[in-house]
Amino acid sequence: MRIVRQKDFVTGLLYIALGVAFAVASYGYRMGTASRMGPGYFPFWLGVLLAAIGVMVLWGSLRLHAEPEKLQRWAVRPMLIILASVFIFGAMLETLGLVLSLIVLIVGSSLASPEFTWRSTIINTVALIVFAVVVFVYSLSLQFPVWPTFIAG
Amino acid sequence: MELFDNLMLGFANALTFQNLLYAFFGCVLGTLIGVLPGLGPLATISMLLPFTFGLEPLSALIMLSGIYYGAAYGGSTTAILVNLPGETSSVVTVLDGYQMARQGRAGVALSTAALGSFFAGCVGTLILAAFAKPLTQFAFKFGPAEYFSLMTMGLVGAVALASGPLLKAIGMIVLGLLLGLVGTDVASGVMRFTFGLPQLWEGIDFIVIAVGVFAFSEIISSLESKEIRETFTEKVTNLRPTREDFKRMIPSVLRGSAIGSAVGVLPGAGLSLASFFAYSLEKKVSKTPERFGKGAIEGVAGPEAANNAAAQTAFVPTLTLGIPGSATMALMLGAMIVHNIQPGPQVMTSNPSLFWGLIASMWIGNLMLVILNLPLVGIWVKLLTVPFKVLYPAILMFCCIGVYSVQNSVFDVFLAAVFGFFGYGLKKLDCEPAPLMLGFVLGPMIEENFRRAMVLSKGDFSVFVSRPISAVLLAVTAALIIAVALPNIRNRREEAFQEG
Amino acid sequence: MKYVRYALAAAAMAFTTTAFAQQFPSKPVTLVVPFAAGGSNDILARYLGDNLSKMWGQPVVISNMPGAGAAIGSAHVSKAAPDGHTLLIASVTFTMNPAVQKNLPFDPVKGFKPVAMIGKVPLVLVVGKSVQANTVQEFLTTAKSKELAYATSGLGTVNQFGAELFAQSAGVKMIPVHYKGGSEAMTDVIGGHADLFMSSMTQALPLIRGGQLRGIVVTSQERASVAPEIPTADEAGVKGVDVEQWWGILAPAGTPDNLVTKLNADINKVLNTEATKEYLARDAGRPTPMSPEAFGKLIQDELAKWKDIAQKADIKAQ
Repeated sequence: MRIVRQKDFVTGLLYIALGVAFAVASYGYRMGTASRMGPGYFPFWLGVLLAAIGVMVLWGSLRLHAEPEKLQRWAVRPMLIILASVFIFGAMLETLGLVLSLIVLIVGSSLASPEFTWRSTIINTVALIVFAVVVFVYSLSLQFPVWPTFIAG
Repeated sequence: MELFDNLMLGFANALTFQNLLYAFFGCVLGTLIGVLPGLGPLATISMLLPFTFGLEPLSALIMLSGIYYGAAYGGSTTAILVNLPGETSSVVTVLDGYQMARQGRAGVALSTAALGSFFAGCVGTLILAAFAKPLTQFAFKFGPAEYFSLMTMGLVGAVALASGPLLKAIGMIVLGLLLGLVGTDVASGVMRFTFGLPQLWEGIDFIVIAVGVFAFSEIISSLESKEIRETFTEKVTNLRPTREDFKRMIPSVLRGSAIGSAVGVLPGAGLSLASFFAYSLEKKVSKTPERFGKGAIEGVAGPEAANNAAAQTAFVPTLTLGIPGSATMALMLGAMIVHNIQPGPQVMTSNPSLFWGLIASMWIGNLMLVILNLPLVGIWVKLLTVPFKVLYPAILMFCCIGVYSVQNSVFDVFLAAVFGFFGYGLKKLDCEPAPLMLGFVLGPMIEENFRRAMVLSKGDFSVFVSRPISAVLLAVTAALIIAVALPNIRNRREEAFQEG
Repeated sequence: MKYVRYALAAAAMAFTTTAFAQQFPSKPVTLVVPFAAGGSNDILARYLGDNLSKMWGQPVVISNMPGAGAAIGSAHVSKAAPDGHTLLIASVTFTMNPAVQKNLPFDPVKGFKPVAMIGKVPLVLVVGKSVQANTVQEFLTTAKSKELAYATSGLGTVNQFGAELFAQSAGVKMIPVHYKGGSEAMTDVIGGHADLFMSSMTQALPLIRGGQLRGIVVTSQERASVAPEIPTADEAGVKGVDVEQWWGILAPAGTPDNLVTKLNADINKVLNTEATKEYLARDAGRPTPMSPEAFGKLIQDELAKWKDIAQKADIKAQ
């Protein structure tokens, strides 16, 4: 058997997996009946429906006469850099404050660009931090620590 | 001619230099804040509320409603420029607006949004002024059964949001419905799919998913291309719509204004559904539906008009009854109470200068927005010429801060990153995020209204067809399904014959 | 007179408390609102915070910590340093949540030290066009002839408990229809889709005045000053109905007693001004200053009461 449409094949698998997962999780809640639905009823049947759609998409991807379509490569490096910068920003924000977290976020994410230079990144970082502090902290007085809590006390 | 007299009274009250200044200030502030993701009108109005305590009641309301429109308009700007819908209603603006921006037509898209919104705002204001009372009665006709049928229609229409294969889009809608159910189930109090995390008890916030699947995934996939991408978009061509553009957008704006005015009256559901309905309609009536999703100007004009018309008529229940249609409206009511005006059915008669003054100021606010925004278009478009490597860390920063500030919770920032991964994966599989977002918004509402209808009818399914409005809506839904299914079945058959 | 007495008491207290309390507040005080900005808790907190910061000469920062009902903000305060610089504004639902939700991330009794009661707003039972009744008797006749559906703004909210308390006291059975918020619930009662709503007086009053809804009965011990024509449940022969929306201030457990006394005195000072009275009257409410002990007892009593009601009416997350 040859998988003609690889993207649809994976989509089908994804729908089946998510549908089954939601249906199984919903089974733990009270089901009830259609006229007196419990919390499990609606998500259970939606999960079943999603899995069924997954099967249909999967089936369609195997038909020989379908237009062939290949999976694309993932850009793993920029993805990891961007998402890791966001994660670290979140992890630092409440203890180390906005300024340090933004340095990590901006410098970190800039590394993902193929045309990264330290010069422009540093200028960008300083400008954005000044902007963020002026707009978010002073003008809009949003609630977050600006400096590390152990310094600011 | 009573209406005319009333409007004159309104303009006489609203058109003072001071009030115009507040309207202007509100619109500027609203626009600037609306552009920042995560900071909607709700956050802004609640922060500014204390500052308005010292103002005249009418001035305070004029400024706050300026913020409200400004923020709604600013949200579309972000949607068009950087592929990030800041609120439910701008999900569809992303579809064609961002594509237009990619083709260098960001200026045209923004101008279209501004002009369409202005026109629809005028229509909405007039409707509000003339028909506030009967519209209220219309809104009361909508019970749980009607809402359920309306949303089912919305779901079927959502298929129109997809430009790719139908089946995959339906899968995304269903997945969206499921994601929308995360959190406390209103009818039973059970926490569903929360993995024991209290941060998920109230569900996933819209902006968390939007930032993840739209903004983050767009940035990642922009970074992957081998050739260096200088700026976010190709060369910016023209700023203003051409004659051809106007010809395309005018009927869309008219249809959008009509649909938005009607749907906006319904509290709760109206504001988020208006632009979806308008987009589905535009694609249905278009002779060239294949252009949608690839930068069709009608796909920006119709929904933007609908959204703004709905933003006006959403004031109907708030003004005539004192019942807020949304959290933002609740704050506006709070502002009235603070100024010793008891909102409610009496405002119209007991405080006519305020009521009509506010209506007049809505029109003024809309005019101000268009005057303010047309010159701004040039500046926004300039932003797109900033080198991409400088722009994307800035977008990331605004997204992260915006996501955090919704609930002051870093958990949401983590969750947005997870959705960024998920969204990037979906992109690689050619699964479109817009149907997912609509499912996400509609999911809990559909379930809640269905269950409410069942409780109220004591388990009798016939309510959905025995109540006239609900029956009509379901009939339209059925017609839509047939219209979508027929060509598909025919195609299948033809394929089958060819194979055989 | 009352004002003078409280002022004197506060002055006396200020002299007798220890140095620790005299230095309070030594830094900005955070008042945690466990909901998003814009709700009744938030507006009240901003008013109170504004007045307290004028009195203390230190800013009172309003910190919105929404999420999980009020659980995230409440849990945060219960774990904060017990030095009076982190406080929680809680409402009546604080005593109701434990009756319906298991696994709350805080203990409503052991996690907190009650500081001060702020004020109360009565509830009023309103009906729309689906119920023809104008008096309590007519209403009860209807309720006995068919099962009425009462709207709530969510499971385990004050609207549901209020309606259940009334139904149980009157000996009728009604079924809940849950909505995501008070506005949706109210709209459906006006439209005649749901039958009744136990609303806070704040939201119901303009609609009663406008004729969209009829007020049948109030749930406070005395008639509401803003709508004196509506009888109390007690007067109408339905005994034991006493439920009001209230707001109060709590500190983390372990906060020193003298500090609690000072906080209580300062808050009560704000409550006993004409300005506060007027401020709350706009929302059909009234300030109800209490000692920390009385407030603590009220919380304990209500916790027990709602647990009992929840059991009888089978209100629980299921």
